[in-house]
Amino acid sequence: MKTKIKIVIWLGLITVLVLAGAFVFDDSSWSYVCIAVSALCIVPFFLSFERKNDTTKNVILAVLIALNTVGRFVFAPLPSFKPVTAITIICGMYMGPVYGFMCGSLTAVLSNFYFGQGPWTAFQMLSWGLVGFGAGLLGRRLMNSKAVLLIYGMITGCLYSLVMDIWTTMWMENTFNIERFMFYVTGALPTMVIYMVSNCIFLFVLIGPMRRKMDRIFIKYDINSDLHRSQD
Amino acid sequence: MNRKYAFFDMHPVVSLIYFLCVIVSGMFFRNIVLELISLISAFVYITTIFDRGRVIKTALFCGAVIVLMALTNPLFSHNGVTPLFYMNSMAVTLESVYYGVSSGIMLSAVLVWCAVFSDGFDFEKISYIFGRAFGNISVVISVALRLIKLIRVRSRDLAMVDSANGRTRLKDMLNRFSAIMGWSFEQGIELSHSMKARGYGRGRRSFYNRFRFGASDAAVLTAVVILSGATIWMYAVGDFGFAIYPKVWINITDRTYLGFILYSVLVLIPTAVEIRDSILWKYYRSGI
Amino acid sequence: MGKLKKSRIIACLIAILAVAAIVVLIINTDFETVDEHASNASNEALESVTDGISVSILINYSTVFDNYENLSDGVKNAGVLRDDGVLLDKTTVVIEKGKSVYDLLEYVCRVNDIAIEYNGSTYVQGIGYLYEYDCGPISGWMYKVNGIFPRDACGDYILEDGDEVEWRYTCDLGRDLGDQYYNMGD
Repeated sequence: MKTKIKIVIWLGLITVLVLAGAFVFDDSSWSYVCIAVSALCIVPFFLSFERKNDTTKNVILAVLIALNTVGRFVFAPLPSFKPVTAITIICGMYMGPVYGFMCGSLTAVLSNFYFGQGPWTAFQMLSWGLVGFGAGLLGRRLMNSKAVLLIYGMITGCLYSLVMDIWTTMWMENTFNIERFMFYVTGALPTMVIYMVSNCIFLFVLIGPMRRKMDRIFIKYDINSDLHRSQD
Repeated sequence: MNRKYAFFDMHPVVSLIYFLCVIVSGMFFRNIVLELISLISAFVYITTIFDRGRVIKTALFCGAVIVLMALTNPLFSHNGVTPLFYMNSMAVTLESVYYGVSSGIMLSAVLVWCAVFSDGFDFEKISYIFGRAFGNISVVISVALRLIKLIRVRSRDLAMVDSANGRTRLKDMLNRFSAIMGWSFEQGIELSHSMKARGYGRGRRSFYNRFRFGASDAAVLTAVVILSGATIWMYAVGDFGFAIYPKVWINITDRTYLGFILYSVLVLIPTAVEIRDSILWKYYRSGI
Repeated sequence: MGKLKKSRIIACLIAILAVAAIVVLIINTDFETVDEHASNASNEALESVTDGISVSILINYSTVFDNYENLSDGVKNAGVLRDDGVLLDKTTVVIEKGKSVYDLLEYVCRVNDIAIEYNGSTYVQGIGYLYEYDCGPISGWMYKVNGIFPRDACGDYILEDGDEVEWRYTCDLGRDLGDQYYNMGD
């Protein structure tokens, strides 16, 4: 609980930084401020992860990241049809917000090693990380209700697409131009829809087998999952 | 065959700082000459390290980006003193096309530099730099990388077996995924047990120093810092004055020429290192 | 395999949609060459409006000269600034009833060949090659009607007979034009 509060405080501080930057710098520096800030946003999550000394859980996280990355390769020919968000949500559900964040952002880093890094990596890390983080915070509710899970999948699909559109807008023309933003959003609308739909499909399909396997592992080896522990 | 990526054989800190300087300056320096310098030298560099096919593909991609920006920018920006025609009472101007081209060049240059960087700066170097602060993460990534390879090989094997037995439907893919998942978790658990047995997680981490920071590293780093610092200062002071809206204007003084030369040297450093390495390699080989 | 075919079908559908969208956009846009634009403008100037209202408008950017160091390089060196800072002297115009400040500005600029760039009908980014942020990070165009600054978007303020509109450029969020809105206290 304490870690969660600390993380929320960090997020608040960074928001303040963004607003301050927006006023101090003139309009042409928005996108750089954003890239810097998103990179900085990732740091507290990473530092928080560094304190986790549970080797077994770390290795399980590595396994999930590996599965996530391979999943992204497998569906590479289909542009926005990726199981990454789904598996990240499941990871966050089971292992808590911090592990969920790590799953999302490290998958971004690793799969970009193969697909190509770029200025977008920081945003992908942040968005996928936050998907996992949110899933961790909502853990219990997502576990108990498939409907909530699917809704969360749809929301994150939509938000992820919007965030990437914001980034593209800022990147293309150093300011935030509403027209350009709408242009990219409408251009990316089909992608967004496919994204949301694919999220739901993957969640629906994968949740069964993954739950079984992960429950089995967690119980068999007596790993302390966030979910099998009483909420504090 | 010549050795490639000689620039990345240096200490990772040097290459990291270099690419940071080049990529950030590429994004900030909105001067057409500087942007062209950046793009052209990026291309000169990739001709030394990529094969021909890839260079051509990159060139086509950059060309497409530039054309796309040149065509779409006039739709959003109507500033400029030279109207070409009018759309819905707002002018489509020559200057906005120029601005699109300029943005396209800047974007292409940054993308090419990023591509080169991501190619050469593999995980080993990243973990060398950040390993001390982010030890946990480095381990997780290393394990994940190994597992990715294992999983891909194994799923390919399973797929072959399945298709030989006629099991190719979607349901079979799911079963395969389930099996792979279970198997990889078991692998992971065994791995974590072996790590724990070897004492992992107890006490402080040891650290393996693969890269030494030598004289040539120091020389290159100093050059990079001085050149970047000089060009950034000159840019801030206004020696690189350039504007497209509302009328194209460029400020060229003697100091501007100096600035162009300094920046060209900065962006040509990797090419110089590659060529030097190539020459030395051939020289040493001829002595065998 | 099924996956590749699926992606090809999706790609084709998207391509068709994109082309259709572009065609629709082109049909709905009004294209003019430079000469056509000029002649349309002078024709429009000669049209008279029956049963309209009479309003006046002026466009002024003299505050730029008080902050000349902040002016962006492009504008400084393009040679488009007039020494007196007057883009349009106070002119009386007859327009239709129910038109907004935005409509008036757009009409006047079209007829007098003044370049203008706006964001929909809510925000004016630049008039006569002078754009927002060209004179510092809080500079831009603001408008006054009958001596006060309305808080509405220019497209929402409907004009009445006898209104006097002023479009002025500020380098200081309106404070240099006498607008107290952004001053805390009082």
